[in-house]
Amino acid sequence: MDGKSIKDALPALLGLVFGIALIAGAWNLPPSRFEPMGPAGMPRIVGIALIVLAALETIRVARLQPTKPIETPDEPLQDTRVTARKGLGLIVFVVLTFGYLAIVSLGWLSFIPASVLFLFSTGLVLTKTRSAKTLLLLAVVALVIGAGSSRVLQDVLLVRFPGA
Amino acid sequence: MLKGKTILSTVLATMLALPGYAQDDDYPSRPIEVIVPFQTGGEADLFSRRIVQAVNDNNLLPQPMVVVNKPGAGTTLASRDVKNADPDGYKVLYLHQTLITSNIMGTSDYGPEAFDPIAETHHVCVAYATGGDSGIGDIETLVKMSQDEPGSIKDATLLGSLSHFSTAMLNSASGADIRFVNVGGGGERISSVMGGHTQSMIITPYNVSRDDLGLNGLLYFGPERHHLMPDVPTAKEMGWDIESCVNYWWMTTKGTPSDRVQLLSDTLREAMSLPEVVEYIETKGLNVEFLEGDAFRASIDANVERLNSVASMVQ
Amino acid sequence: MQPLFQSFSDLMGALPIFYIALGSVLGVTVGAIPGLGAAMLISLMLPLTYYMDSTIAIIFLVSIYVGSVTGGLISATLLRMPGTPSAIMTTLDGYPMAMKGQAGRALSLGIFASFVGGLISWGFLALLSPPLAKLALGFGPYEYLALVIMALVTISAVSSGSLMTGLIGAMIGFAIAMVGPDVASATMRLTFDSDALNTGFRLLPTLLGVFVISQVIEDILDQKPVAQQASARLRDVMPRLGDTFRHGVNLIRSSVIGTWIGILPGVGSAVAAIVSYSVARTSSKTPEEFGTGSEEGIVAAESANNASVNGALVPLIALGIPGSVVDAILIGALTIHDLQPGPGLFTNRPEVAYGVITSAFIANIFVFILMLLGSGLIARLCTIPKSFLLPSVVFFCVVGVYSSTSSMFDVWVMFAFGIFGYALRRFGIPIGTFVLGYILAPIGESELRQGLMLYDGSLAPLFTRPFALGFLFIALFMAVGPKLVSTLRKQRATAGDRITDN
Repeated sequence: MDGKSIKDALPALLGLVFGIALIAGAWNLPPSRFEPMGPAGMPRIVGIALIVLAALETIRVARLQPTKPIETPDEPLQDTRVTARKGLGLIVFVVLTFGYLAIVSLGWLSFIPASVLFLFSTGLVLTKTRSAKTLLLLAVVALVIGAGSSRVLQDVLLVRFPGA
Repeated sequence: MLKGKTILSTVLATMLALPGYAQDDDYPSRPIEVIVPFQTGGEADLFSRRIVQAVNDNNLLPQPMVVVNKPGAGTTLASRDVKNADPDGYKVLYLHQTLITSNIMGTSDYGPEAFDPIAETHHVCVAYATGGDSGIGDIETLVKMSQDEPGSIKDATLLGSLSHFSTAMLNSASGADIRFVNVGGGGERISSVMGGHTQSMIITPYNVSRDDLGLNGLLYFGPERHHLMPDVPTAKEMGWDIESCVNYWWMTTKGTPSDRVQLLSDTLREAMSLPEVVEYIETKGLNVEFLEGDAFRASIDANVERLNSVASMVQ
Repeated sequence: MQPLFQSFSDLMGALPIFYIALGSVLGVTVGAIPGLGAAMLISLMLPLTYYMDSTIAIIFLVSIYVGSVTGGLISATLLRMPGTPSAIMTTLDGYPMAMKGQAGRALSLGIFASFVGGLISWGFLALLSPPLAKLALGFGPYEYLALVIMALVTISAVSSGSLMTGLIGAMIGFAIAMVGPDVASATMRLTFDSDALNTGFRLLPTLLGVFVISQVIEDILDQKPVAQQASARLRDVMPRLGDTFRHGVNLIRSSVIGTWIGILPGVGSAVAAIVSYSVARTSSKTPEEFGTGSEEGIVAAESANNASVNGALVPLIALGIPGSVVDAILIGALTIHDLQPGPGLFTNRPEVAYGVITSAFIANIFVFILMLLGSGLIARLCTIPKSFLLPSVVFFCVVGVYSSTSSMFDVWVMFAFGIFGYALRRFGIPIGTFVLGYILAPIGESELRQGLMLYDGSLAPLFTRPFALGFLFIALFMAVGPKLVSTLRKQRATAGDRITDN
């Protein structure tokens, strides 16, 4: 890796974005009659602090001594494939979680069946060995954790889950 | 053929009668949610739980009532939830004057008029107190000190809350110049006054009566003296025409059928007539006084008027 | 003393012991499961305790509380998922140690430090509650403000990356915390006219998203096989007597710091762990090891966060004022039973007042034994394949968030913060500073504004009140100290070079 890269500039950039958002968001807040500092005070202080910090961080990064540009050999091909598969796993995982929450929010399925489905399907995506034994185990775990613990919460601790 | 049709229609009828699709004629056919805008375990929360407990333990309703805590956004999260619910009587809001004060302060764009009132179950009028080692033993001394040396008396309060309004009433009626420090809820106020950072506060009579805090009660904002602090004069006795109480109200969504509101009101009335409920609430220094219908509406209106009269002082 | 012994013998019956044991087990369990926590369990248990005897109810809840803080050690060390803020500092050194194959050693130190922290702070709770609580009342708004500044600078300095990125993270945390109703006037801020944001981003979804969900994402992408490396055998876990002597000073110091910060209302065990961690680092002979698997780091963090639990019980016992979120619920539990917490409780219902104190002690011992015996099993947690572990973690986070506010919106917030937290990690912003900024923002802001009202708009008392000034000095030292020391060292080294040159 190079001593300086795009990545090093990201914290400062993020700081700047948040700083500006804070100052903009606090622009129209009313002053307070009883307080020397109203609701707008703190967002402004923090916004300015963020901008100053972003500037200081930029200076720091700019002054970093560029380390010798190592010719980083590209990661071995095999690794890329593994990464790609994991990346795919991540995408599927995020999609499944999103779907799970959406189904529960919209009330298409009540909480317990949706949870059992979620546990089983994400487990299936993440598992490496898809043998009959793993499938069975996944199903059992999904039932015990998804249905079992929800029922305990529902019946003993009186939590009311959506759609229940 | 006819038989087939009968079976079919029976099946259809059964299907239509599935829960969820049923015409909800026999209210309540599922649990009624009591939406409480406070954190679990807070004092206000506990009284609602005690009442709900009594309803359920004595089977006053065919279905249970359940407490759902929805704290946040200065109680407006909970009130907005009930306001926007279906007007079917399955969501009940449990709240007090904050419904009015948050409207005056602009935190919400609606007041109690946005709901169908069910009943008022209990109330507590507030007291004014100083720390035990503050050396301020009566209200006249406090008023005089605040006038002689402006800024010497600072009130630990929660801006925009009923406490803030109450001290504003005191300032307005007595000519005192008590300044405000925004400290927070009851616990924080007691810490601040006992730590000597601020001098005085609005607090419940129960806390004034507690020996272990050693607070000096100076004034009571109720119509008559409070039994837990019989030595503390009322504002009326001092010649100030002010009153400030926290009244606990049960409301539901506007447009709920009146028979359902009536059923809820009857249920609460029954619960509030149980001696154990009354005792639980009264030992904490609150008064059980059940109001419904027109009397309840009148109480709300009086509060709206009273709080609006000092609106310009707190906004 | 007499009533304390009386209370011990009262609690030696089968029923109280059963409830203390049950509470300890439940506490450790919810503490160890990322997503669940003591505050959630205790608030859900509250209606149940209505049907229990008042003493039993309160000792049961106290035991859950004590167990949960120690339980947090497990997931922080083995999974790098702090289930509660109090375990943030433990992840810094616990997880690297586990990755080096020393999971057992890390757990052992944590368990032992938790135990000692619990014991020392218990001593303060049992013997010195009233004067300590009185002392804490003397802390005004600016003392708290200075404490917040100190904690923020400190965590930014001890986290990985530069001080600047740390502070940027903390300030972004501040920004996120300010969305929603203003702490003082409930005016809506930074909601950009969205009604959904009227409650702001709550603690639990933000915390679980940034710490746990983002770690789940990291784990899916991570190549490193955690499984074989992070396992522990009982032999590794059994504490050796030598540890006591080697870490003795650190243990006592961190426990005292933890107790004191616990006593201050609203500050919490996370800050207790940060402060003692950074003090340990400053006074360590090997400060460079901190953050890479330092034993001292684990000891400091775990003894302090456990000590803060008993510390937080001090204002509850002495004044009836909650020292933490969980304490507020405990006060509710007492009130349900018609009991008023505070010194009056000692005269009116001594068996309950002393029951709180005694059960904190017994639960501490139970948790210690439980963790020792169970740790071999617990450490196998990370041998569970990710395909079983990660979906369950997500599920428990959903359950934990939903059951505390009954709002699906909060669950979505958690999901969004999971992705945000992952982005922060990629950007090289330490998420610990973000979360601390988030937690401390409301305290810092309300104390600043309160102070300005109290002192008529003046900031001067921040520099004239001794404690406040002291905290600011420590913060300044944390910010520039390390650099100063290294520059001095360099100068000395070059000076030395010059001498040899000549």
